[in-house]
Amino acid sequence: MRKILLVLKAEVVKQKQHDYHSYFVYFSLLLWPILGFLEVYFTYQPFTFTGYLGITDSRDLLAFLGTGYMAYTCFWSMVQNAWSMSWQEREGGTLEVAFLTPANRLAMMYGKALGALIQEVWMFCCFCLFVLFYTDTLRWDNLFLLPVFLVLLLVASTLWGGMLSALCLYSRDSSMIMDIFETPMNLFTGTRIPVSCFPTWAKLLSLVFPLTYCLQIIRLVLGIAEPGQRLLPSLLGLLLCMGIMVAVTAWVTIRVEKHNRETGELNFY
Amino acid sequence: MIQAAHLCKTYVLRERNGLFRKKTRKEIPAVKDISLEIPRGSITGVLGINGAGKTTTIRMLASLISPTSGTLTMDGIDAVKNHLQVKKRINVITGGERNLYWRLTARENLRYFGNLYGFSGKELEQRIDRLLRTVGLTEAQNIPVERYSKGMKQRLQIARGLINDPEYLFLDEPTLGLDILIAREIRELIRQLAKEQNKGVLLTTHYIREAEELCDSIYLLEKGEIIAQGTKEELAELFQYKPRLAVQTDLPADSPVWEALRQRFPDHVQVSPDQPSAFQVEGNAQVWSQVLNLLLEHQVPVEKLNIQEANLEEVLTGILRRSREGKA
Amino acid sequence: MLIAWSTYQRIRIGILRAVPWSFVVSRVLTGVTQIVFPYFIYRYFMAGSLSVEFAQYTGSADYMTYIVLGSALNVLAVSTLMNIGRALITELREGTLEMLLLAPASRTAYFAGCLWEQTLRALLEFGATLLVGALLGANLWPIFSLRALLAITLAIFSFFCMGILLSGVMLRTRDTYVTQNTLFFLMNVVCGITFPLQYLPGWVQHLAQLFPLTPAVALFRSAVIQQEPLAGQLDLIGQILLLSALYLLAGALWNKKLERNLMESIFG
Repeated sequence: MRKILLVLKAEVVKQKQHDYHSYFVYFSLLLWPILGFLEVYFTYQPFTFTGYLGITDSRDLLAFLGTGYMAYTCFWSMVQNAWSMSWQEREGGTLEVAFLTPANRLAMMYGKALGALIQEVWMFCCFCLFVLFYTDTLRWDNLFLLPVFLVLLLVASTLWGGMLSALCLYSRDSSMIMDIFETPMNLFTGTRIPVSCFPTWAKLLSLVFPLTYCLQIIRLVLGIAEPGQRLLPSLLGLLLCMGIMVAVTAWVTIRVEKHNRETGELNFY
Repeated sequence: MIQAAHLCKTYVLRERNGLFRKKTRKEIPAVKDISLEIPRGSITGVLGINGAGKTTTIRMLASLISPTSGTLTMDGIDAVKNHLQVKKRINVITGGERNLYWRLTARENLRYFGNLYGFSGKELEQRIDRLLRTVGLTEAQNIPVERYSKGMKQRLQIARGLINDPEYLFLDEPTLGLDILIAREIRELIRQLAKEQNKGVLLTTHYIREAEELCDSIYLLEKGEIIAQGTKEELAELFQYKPRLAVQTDLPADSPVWEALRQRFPDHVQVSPDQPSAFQVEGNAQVWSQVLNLLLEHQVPVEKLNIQEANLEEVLTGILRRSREGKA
Repeated sequence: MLIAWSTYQRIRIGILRAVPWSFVVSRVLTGVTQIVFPYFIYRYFMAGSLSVEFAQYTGSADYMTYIVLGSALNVLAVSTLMNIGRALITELREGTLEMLLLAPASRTAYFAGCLWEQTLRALLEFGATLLVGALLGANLWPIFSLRALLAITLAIFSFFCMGILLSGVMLRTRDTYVTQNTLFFLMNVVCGITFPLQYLPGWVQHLAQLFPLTPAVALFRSAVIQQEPLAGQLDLIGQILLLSALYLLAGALWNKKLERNLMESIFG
């Protein structure tokens, strides 16, 4: 257990030292999401609010989008990080050296994800928290909810990121997962548009993404929800998703190492 | 001791020709039936030209890739099945500048890899101090690796390879592309590791001199097969290479001196076909001085003199030719 | 002409071999995303409850048509800006820039070659986006008219001019990813792609006028939705031409200066 925590810590620290100099992060995970947030906010402007989900004015909308974007950015940064790290580590040969060690592979995957999360997402999360305070979604009397949903977000997106990191080990060109996840994850998980108004096929599709449950729980806890909506189904859904993600991660890492030992593909030169 | 018996590695390449056609399966044998031993406290060399299968061999022995067939044991443990267990006790150092995080400093790199091996705290920091001293990077330890010179990166690689104090160390062309002084330092370090710290070292190289200088026993690899093996004394016999003297003159092609040279040294002098005024002399120093004296007698000015070391490819061709002749 | 043609040929071959369709796919996806979101909001979330202002600002335009035209033209802009903007720095990265600088070829012809090559691809992406839009209910028949085609041509030309300046910026900063994405995210917000400009604060509306995409998209919409003759939109056309001239001039001057510096750094 001590060794597993050590590997986790090593990956987080490495990520921090590795990213420290990169101004790129300030653009890709702060400026661009804010611009994207504004675009969506203004896209809603031509409509008159119907009061659906309790959204009656621009302020309610901001709260809805603030929660959505915060969770989405956590999950999206995992996609981006898994892709870029897998590429960099493969090219730099450090991936192979890491696999030369007896370190726990799962801890390596989760360490990478957690490191990226802590390192990269906090800026935009601050922006979203500001939005949530501004819209009175978070107040002094419900501030105790903040750590609850931050931890939830942290755990869920770390498990998600670990799975993606493992998947990225599979192939040399994993830029595909960027395309696969960016739009559908944004559209169907309720980041910008509530899932409950979707037609059935889209609702079914949304069930695939752990982010969907995560968002439902966060919004429910913060009171952005349909009256009568219950916590338990979402919680069960999220737990199930997390279980599946851990299982997939474990299976894929074992498979990938076996595969790579046969083909030597961790090597890039 | 690490023992490999009849190791083979065949890569399977699946190529898709066109979008809808079936993939074709191509088998590429990289290593064929290799048996070797790496005892502790000694340096074992694997010598071969580029593409001979050195890297595949070393990666297989270091359990980074699994053999297609054959057995690999480390002190009696099956190293293919228990590769994670084996990995605690080995490490690999490759030549070149990869395998390090360039944005991290030397200490940060070593700390990260140390953590992956389960070391931490004071123990790890002391070990890092010691290693940085050994490879001479104490001064530069807090500078990001991207600002290091090639030699510094290579030395950090060595420190990285020693971070888990491995019992067996695999070195893949560790002096490739380094300047002479640094290469010499690194060779000295490798020798110490084996002799003074009782590590089992396997070294691949394509420099004959390096193998001769360092290795207690040498395996010669060609096209994935071991074509010769033995102690370095045994192999020196087998190599049978003699240095040559290359002489550059300004003799015209029709000069009578050529005839004199050919008559007196029929077995030793070879005229380069592409450079009519240059020739090479085989044999020992005595023959060389006789040749030079003859030039002096005829008052032929020598423009350039050069002693040519045997190159590995020539030696290999020689051995292969002789073994073929022997079979025939 | 020969330079233009050989540039065209070379890029074409390079692209077909190297980065086959990943850029195309991701740009079409971006375009489609930009349509699908408003579609979902319009169709499922807000159930068509458009505000009075929207009709006021857009001259009673059909929502989906309005959105699709905006996104499609945006795809065209992004594609053109990316291809022209990245042309020189790609040469720099592949080490062929020196050859290009040494060759006596005219820069205008070089860029014209890039434009020619990329326009076909960009139009493909534009068409793909429009097709998806049509499937989602946009009324696009009036696109097949001379005035719409002229508006598109004018738009491409203005994006091209801006692209030349962008290529200088990218060459200067040695960066493509951050520059291009920052620009595109900004354009998405300020140029009136998925909502009328009037919703934005006044100063942002003024800022928006600096991007050729703003007047180009307005002209394109008026040509397709209101089906107004171009003669009635001389102010928009004037603005596009003026911006094009300014960007072209700034780009040419900057590139010339950069070229001198580059020559010095390469051969100095």
